[in-house]
Amino acid sequence: MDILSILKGFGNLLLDPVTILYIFIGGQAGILFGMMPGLTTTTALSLLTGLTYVLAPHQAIAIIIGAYVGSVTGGSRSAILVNIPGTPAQAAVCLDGYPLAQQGRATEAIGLSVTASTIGTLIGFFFLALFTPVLGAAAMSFGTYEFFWLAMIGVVIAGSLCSPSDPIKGWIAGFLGLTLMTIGEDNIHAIARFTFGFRQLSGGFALIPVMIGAYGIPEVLNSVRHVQKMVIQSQVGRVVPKFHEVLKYKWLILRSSLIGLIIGIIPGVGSDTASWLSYFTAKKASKTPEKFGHGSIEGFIAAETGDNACVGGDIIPTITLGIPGSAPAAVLLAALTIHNLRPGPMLVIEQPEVVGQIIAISLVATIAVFILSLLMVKQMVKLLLVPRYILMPAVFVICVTGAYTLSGRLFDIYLMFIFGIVGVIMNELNYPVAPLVLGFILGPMAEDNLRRGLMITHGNPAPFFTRPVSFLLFMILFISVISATKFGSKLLNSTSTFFKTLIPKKNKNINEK
Amino acid sequence: MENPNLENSDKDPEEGQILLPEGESSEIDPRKEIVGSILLIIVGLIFVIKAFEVPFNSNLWVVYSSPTIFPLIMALFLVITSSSVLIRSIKRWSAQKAILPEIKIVQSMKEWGAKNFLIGTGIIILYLLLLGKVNFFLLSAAEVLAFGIIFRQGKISEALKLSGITAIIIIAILYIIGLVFGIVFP
Repeated sequence: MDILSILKGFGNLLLDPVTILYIFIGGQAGILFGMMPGLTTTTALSLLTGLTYVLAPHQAIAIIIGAYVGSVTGGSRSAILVNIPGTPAQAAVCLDGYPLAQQGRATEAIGLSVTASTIGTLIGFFFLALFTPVLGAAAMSFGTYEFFWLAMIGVVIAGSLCSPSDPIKGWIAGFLGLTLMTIGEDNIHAIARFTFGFRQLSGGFALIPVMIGAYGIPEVLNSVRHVQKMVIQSQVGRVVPKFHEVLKYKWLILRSSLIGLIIGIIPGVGSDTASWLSYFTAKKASKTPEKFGHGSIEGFIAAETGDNACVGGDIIPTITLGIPGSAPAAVLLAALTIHNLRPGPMLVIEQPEVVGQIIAISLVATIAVFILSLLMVKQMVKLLLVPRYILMPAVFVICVTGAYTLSGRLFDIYLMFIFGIVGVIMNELNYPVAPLVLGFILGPMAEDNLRRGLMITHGNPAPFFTRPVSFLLFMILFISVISATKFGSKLLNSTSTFFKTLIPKKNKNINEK
Repeated sequence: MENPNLENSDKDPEEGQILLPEGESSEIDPRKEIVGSILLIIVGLIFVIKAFEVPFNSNLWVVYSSPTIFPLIMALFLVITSSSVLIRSIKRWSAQKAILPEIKIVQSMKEWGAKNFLIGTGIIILYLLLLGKVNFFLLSAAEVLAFGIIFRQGKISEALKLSGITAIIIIAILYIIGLVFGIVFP
């Protein structure tokens, strides 16, 4: 895959107005979902994956990527105007966005937000275009053993990072997903397992109802628990892009974009982490850290750029390795799989035009969302005033449609509801949902490659630990697990202290000489 | 930061779990943790037991390629990690026994919003039971109206108007989506 494939993808896209229209539809839907507090990017993508199942693959992907970019950008509206992040990624945006609105600078803040989001997303997608061929080529050397570890790393690291204060809960969620995923026929011998007498379970759990249930239903049910009323205190006028103003912070933008990109590449970690990390890094580096939290443009831009650049980073491992960079990317992976496109190294090598098309769609989606973000701002903001107890039952109807469309089975709707209840319980007990869903997505990859690898070696597990890349991946997994435990962090601290004590001694010796 | 625009604000648990700002803790009542970890251990054990029901050796496979080897390993990991949370929570519970507030089920359910939650869940279950038996569009409109009226904050006429408009919009959108994408509804 090379630049020609990307250009070819662009060429094909520009000659296809229907797909461009779908990008705009997806972008607008994403903005709407993004700005509604409680509706997450993942919910938006899960629903759209179900609804667009009947479309041609590139058209469905156009809607989904458009919605992905749109919801990440749109989430800042409610963060700025009502101090409630539209998506979790915008929680950091609230800190400075809302104070700006309180100062009567809501329009300016939205203008800055749209501009910073666009630049961040473009930088993220630039690196997507740059890294995808490189990573895809590198991944060609991966075999059964390496893919097993990659899948396990995806689930375990997602667990650690989604539950930073208590990683074990993240791992438990991941193991739960990996266990539940095995219900139904296995891929190698087609033996039905754990069906508990239910015929419908022999096909296993379909991914879309599980995802819609785990993400969408808890939002619907939580919306009625405590009824919320929102008031928009700031007036919103015509939004004007602030390129010249934002470009004053070019180094801040570049740094935040790189943070977003790297965070995005790490499996399971989403734009929320990128946003916070960019924010805190900007605060540390700022000459005026005291302004952070009181309407600091720096803080605001850092959070916005970081979370948007993450989108590009999220898509890189999704396409090249078949491992989603975040929960929304996991839905994108599922959507690609549903449309018979198997993301991974083979996609990059065998169907470079598809990868080129995805990159082209991503870039056009950024521009589409930029244009859409400047239109109908006043009308869109009014939607924020619709009470959630009115909005959420309507969302539930879309959830039902999304879950049903895929296979036309009522069973999938019931399954969605059951996973919704599981999601509510997990949320109440502080177990993250993302590793559970990731377990469902990466589980087949882990299981098939583990068994296949052992079959090749007649039960000898040595290649899982002795092949260079396998060993490296195993060590990454091992260190990430150990470092998350009390004993491991103590060990790491004492090791670093030991090395720190060595360094001055060495310098001292040099000086003495 | 206090949010003046949100009445009865309730933190939404989220997909990606934001990095908690300094000073915030995610620790929850150890008694809740105990119940949660016991549930998880039960789930794990069910899978462990069921995994042994499939023979590990047959003419098609041997132990390492058996269809239940992977789920068995994962279920064991689930049991082990959940047991670790259970042990930790029991330790925390016994250490904090004196300071932990007494469980007042009715009070804590009320604070959590259980009444509204159960009503909402009830409406959804009824909706699911009627799916396929009643026209999908009519049923969906009724569901939106039921939520709007039951959880209304102002006058019933206003709630009826708002949820009526929402029901019409959502049905129109679904109808158009159905026409354009050829979707069949339940």
